[in-house]
Amino acid sequence: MLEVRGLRKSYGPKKNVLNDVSFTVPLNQLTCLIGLNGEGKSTILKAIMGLVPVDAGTIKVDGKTTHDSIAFVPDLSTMPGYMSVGEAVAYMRDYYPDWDQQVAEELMGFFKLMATDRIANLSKGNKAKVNLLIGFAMNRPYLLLDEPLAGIDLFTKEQIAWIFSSHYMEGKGILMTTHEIAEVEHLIDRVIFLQNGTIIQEDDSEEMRELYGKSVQDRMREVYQT
Amino acid sequence: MKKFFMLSNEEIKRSFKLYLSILTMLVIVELTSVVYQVLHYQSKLEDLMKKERLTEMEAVDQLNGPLTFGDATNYFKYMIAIGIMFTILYAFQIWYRDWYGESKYIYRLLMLPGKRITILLSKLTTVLVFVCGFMGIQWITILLSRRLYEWLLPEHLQAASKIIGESAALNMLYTFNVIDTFVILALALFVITMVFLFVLTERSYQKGKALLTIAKDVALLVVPFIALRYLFDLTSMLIPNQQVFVYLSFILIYFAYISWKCVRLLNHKVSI
Amino acid sequence: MHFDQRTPIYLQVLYWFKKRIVMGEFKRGESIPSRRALANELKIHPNTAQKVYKELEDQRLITTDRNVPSKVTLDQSIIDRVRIELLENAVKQFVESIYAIQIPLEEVIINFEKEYNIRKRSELDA
Repeated sequence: MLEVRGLRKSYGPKKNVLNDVSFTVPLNQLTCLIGLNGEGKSTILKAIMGLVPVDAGTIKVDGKTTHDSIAFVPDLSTMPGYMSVGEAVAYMRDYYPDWDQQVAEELMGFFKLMATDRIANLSKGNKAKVNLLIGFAMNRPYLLLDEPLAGIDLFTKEQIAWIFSSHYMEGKGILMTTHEIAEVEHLIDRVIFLQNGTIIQEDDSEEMRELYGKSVQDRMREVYQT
Repeated sequence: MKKFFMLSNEEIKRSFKLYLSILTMLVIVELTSVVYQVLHYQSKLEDLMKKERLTEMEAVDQLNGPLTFGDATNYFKYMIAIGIMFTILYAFQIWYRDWYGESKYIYRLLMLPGKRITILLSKLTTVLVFVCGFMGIQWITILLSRRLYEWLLPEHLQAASKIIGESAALNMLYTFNVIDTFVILALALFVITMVFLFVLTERSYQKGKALLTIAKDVALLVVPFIALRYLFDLTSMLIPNQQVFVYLSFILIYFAYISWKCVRLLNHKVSI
Repeated sequence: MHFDQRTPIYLQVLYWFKKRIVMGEFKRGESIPSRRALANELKIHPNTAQKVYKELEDQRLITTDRNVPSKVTLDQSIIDRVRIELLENAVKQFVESIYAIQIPLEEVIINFEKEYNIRKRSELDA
């Protein structure tokens, strides 16, 4: 289990970005971090990965303070444009001992990406696919996805969403931020609602459906319109 | 260690083409400048001889003597200054391109397994390697220029090598001294580390605080230095050799301080 | 498969499965798609598929041996039971939707039979 506790970050006395954010990401489930624009969702993911410093808070995986079990898939391109897809994969393979080359190649095939494609020349959707396949091939139990479906065309979205129904999901605890609830609603196990850097609600989506007949979108409306 | 070599290798590969082109350009400009100086001198001689009906010796006298090698390589100091400027710019760019490039490579770097200090060391090493390369090429160019000078200019128009008169800095370069090489590298290391500190400070704090922190760090270098100077001038309590020792010790301590700060910022304060 | 986002997903998949068993699309004793294949086809999370299979096992609708694909039960009585369960659920829903309008039972039955026969006829024609 990935445990986030007491994340706090501010840019000054009145500019609180994260207010005592605490939650858990269980293994084998898809947890979704929901928030309206600029609420700090992205910041939380980056804080978990140590890309952004925080004023307070701990990140623990099964009780240990380490990043080795977490892989992050950002919403922008992070591999140098001059590299080809094959070179980017080779790069990751060199630096990460647990890298699963087979997964990388399988996903490259599924996403129809050629090893010789230069990253700088890829469309936005294809760049997102590269990020995603790298995230899965890193072979770590926890995966953080920052807006994996944002600003992508329909067909690419379907391809990317396919991954969430595939065996690549098995044994992984996923934390995802997204605006595009509609496409992934039926895949989400848990929902965490964020507002102004504070967690205001946590729900189990199937429970919401079973006990109250409410969809995630219904809950969103309830939670954000009070 | 493996991570260090891989990162350094990649940094060098990334800039190699640009580096090679700048280097080539500098060499060509320098060699061309030597040829130009020689021909220019000779044409001035001929002009004088024609216009004022002088003998060659008289013309040479008028031009304050034969063309020294130092004269012939007069423009080199500008090229070296440009080289230094490029190096410092590169020390900035080697970081900022990872933040502001078309892809945010800095994400990858900061998330790599292992220690972050390796990132710092690999970038440092890359810049120093380029400095070494520049020095090496500069030496070769000086040697080539010497051959050029001796080949183009008739012997009687050459002056006995008196480059020493030029500047102490250039003198260091022209006499291929091993110790001088280390001095230059040490100086480069210091300057580059300062640049890295500025970059990492700027990337860790918001503008106002960043500026203040940088100003503080600069003051921490300059103020004690000036204070020491005054102390020695007023009290003259130590002989020059000992004074130099004190200055050097201070520089060393300061260098340790800025290095430690760089590592600390990179590990705990830097933000994407 | 289009999901109603206000009803538990796994129940909808369970229903889909039961329907197919009762309809004979998954025949008695026959192998059924693997969990992974099901997840892929219906575009659900693999652990939802896992949950469905567990339910099916618990209700003894499928049998699972190690290293062999799961099979639909050979026990007809279980399938019959499910058939009745589906019928009862459908009737419950129908009664739920029609009761509030307060139409007399005879009228309901007449209309029901009419609609049922229309459907039957259109299927025979097709």
